[in-house]
Amino acid sequence: MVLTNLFDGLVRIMNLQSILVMTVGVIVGILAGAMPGISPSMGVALMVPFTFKMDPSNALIFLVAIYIAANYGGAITAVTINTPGTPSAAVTSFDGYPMCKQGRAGWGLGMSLVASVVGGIFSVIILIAFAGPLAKVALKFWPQEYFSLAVLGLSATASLGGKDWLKVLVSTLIGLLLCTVGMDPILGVKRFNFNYIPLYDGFTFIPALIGLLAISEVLSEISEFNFVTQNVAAALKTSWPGIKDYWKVRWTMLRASVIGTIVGIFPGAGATIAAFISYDIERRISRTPEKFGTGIPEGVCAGEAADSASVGGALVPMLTLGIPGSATTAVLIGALMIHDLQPGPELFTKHPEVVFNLYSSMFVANIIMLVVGTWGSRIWVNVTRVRKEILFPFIFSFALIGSYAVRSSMVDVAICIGFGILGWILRRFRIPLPPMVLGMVLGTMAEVNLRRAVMIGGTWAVFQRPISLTLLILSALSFGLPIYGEIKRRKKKAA
Amino acid sequence: MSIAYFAKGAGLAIMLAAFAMAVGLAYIVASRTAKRRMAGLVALGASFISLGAFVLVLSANLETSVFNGNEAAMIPRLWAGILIPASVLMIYRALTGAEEEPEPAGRTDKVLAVLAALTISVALMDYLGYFICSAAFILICMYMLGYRKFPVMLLISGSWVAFSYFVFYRLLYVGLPLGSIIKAVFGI
Amino acid sequence: MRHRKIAVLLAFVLISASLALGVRAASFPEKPIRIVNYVAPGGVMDITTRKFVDIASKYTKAVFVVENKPGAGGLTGMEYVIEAPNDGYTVFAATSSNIITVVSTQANQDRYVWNFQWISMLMRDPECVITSVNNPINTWPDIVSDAVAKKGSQIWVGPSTGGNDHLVALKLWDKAGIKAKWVPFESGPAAMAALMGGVGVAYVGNPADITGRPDLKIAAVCAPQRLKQFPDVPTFKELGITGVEDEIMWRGFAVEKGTPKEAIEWLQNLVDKVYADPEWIKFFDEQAIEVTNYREERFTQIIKMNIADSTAYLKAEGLIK
Repeated sequence: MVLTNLFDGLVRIMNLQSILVMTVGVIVGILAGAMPGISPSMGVALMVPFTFKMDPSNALIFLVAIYIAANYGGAITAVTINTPGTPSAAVTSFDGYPMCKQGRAGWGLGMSLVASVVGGIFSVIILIAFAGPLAKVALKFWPQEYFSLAVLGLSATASLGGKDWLKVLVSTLIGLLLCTVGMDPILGVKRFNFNYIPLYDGFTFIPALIGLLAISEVLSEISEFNFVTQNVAAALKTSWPGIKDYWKVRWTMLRASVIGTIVGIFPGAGATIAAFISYDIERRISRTPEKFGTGIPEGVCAGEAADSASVGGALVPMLTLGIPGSATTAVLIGALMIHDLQPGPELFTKHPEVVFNLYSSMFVANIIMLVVGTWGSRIWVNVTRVRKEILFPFIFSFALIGSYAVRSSMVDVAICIGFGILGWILRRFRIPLPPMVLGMVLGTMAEVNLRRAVMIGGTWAVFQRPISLTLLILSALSFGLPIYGEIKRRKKKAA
Repeated sequence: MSIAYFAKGAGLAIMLAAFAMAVGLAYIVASRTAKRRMAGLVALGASFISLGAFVLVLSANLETSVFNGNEAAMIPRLWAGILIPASVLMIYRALTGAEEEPEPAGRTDKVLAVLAALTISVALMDYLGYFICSAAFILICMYMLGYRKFPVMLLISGSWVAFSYFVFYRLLYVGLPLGSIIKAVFGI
Repeated sequence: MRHRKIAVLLAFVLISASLALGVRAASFPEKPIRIVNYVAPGGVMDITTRKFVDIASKYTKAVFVVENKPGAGGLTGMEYVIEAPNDGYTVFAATSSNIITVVSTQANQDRYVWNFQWISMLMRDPECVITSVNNPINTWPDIVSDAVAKKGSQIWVGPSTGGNDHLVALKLWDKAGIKAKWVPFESGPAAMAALMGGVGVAYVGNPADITGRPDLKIAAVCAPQRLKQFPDVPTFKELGITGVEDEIMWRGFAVEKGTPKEAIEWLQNLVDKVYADPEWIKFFDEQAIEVTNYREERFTQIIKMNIADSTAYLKAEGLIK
């Protein structure tokens, strides 16, 4: 039944116009994703006016193609210049950029593209097969569970900082503390912003992220830069992974896709959190966890597949409940309403053809993305051959214009530079930055949900619901086990 | 004198000055000990402690304190409350040799020069506009990093301006600042 | 390759020069008009503005650009409009939430309310209480008796504390003589998900919130008589609660004070045409929204009332001093 509908949908979209629409959507999406400061939701929003003249089905196909491709596009700049084009691509940069520095940018680009496509296709299958029951699970998540999910996410810092747990802790806390600047999310009380309007919502996340990862990296590279001789790496020819190499990381991609889809379903979580959790899990079950962060394929795939799989997940609550599962799906809902379509369960009964066209288009769009991305990567990889004296000014300019684009605000540009300097100083003292990024990603989610939970169920609310308690026990284990292992190892050494 | 005195105005300035002095003092004291190379890390730890204390003082003075058993100061207090002892421990470990030494400083002069150029170009954007400032920054930054082929430099900064104009300003509708002086001169 | 780059550069120089020296037209508008939105793309006001621009294009050749300046409950967008020149080329798309945010954040009213001329109120969206059909407590009498039984621990969900919907909830509790807790969420849809999941028993929103969401129903609506789109939904008046018939969320346009009269009149004339457009009326009628065309005087009166109302209730709650 579903398969016949799906096939009918596939037949309907196999016309020149729809394929053209998807291809344009994929190209626009990749570019928007690669542009720092243009998040997937902004990319989709900017293109909404172009859909007014399309029929609703093609409009939806077009916008979802942008959404899919934008979530991949962020990886390109994350790998080649350590500037995540989308927040969720921050995780991709942890292993992708080291690859690039070693002259293996082709590996970073190839792995992230294939992982994106695998994650994307996997999540569509889950979406089609299990949307209904999964949406019910999503509704079971009360603030208590969201808080515990955030804590579980924070426990991932253990795998982000190397061996020095104290510096990891300090870095995480700085991130969490920076998150508390701005209007308090529950009562609207002004906190630490000195009545300065641009800081009412705290530090804008994307500029802070770009500053912390990209600007600080360039600053430290400048301080190590040899101004006399030019680096030889630029002349190296890049190698690309082959089918065999992709096959080697199949389980990583699959696990990441599952995690990405599941986390994507929850309206309060999202792609970035999914990518962090997936990266953490891969590192924990890996036989060589110490290699994560040094440029290994598993690291790139874990983040990127989860990131892309979250797209299908985010569509679950949108299609079954009419509730956006992410910022981008909120834009999609708005666009559908302009086209006189009401997203939600009635879409299946009133306009089933729109839904099944969308489903089959998501498969096709992922394939188109594979083709366009493979071709585009061959061009992108040349960025790594650019001399550093030219590349560095470009990264600065890119980071600044991206920061400005988020809200058209010079304050965000200042935030970007400020976080760049902070990151540069912290790097010098070997304080890892990824935990700080994670602290900023999860700080608000942890705070609002803890406070909501307390309002709903009293002080101990988070321990009183089974799912929440399970998640908390899992996080306690994931904090505790490595420390326990460390103590055991030391005792052995001593004996 | 209550804690509210330090939350704004002169009190705030006094508190910030005290923190700056504490950080400076930590650096000086640590650089006189045998662990001279750790002075920077000690100063960093001291600044984190100051940050924690700063948060604690400010969160004692928020406008609305409690509503429905819910307090805006709760979470910042929690994080700051963990940050302070963690930073103390970090300083202790730095002085007892349990922490790694910082990375070598390298060409800090170049970094500061580039940062200065960056900050100046950003500060001037409101007056001279994005396009002039970013072109100038790209030129200056390339020069600072030792690049000397001027025709290529001009070409590159020109193409950046064209790229940012067409992609960001025209296509993506990002209202890049045109600059008050430029606007006045050209009457835009 | 290099030649092409130079050509692009040259073209850019020529374009900018011609733009700068371009002849100035005589009448308003001579350049694109920006409509500044305080919500992210996809938000209610964003959809409204884009629909307005879409329909306005039937009547004028003027170019509109919809800009989103979300943040600080609208203050960011207002600040942006105030900073822009008051030449009529920057219009603020406001809702009643903006006014209530100014009150609840204790921001400067002279700057964020009275520095604007509220030129056109476009529509009245009635407020209503929404419940989940999967929850046995889903009518207004159910809610009241449940609230009495729970002695103040009943939970209502909705968007921000101190916002328009919270204010309506406070009024309803006051008039019905019940007590409950308001648990705020990031957005309306997030709060509706919480309602569907059973976190709370009631959500305050607008009738259009239930379209496409069969798990939700309207328990009662703030309106003088029943809405023709929802004939089965009782009004609060029928349920014995009076004084909330006028609880609405309005949407409208404002410009900074001192904007030339010519520009304001041009915009109001355009609103006149859009107001009468059948497509405009139909789009909002389906959502049970009444389109209006109130001019400055009436609009300003409504805003004064909003301020007085919200100040009184938020003070009583202890949310503002």
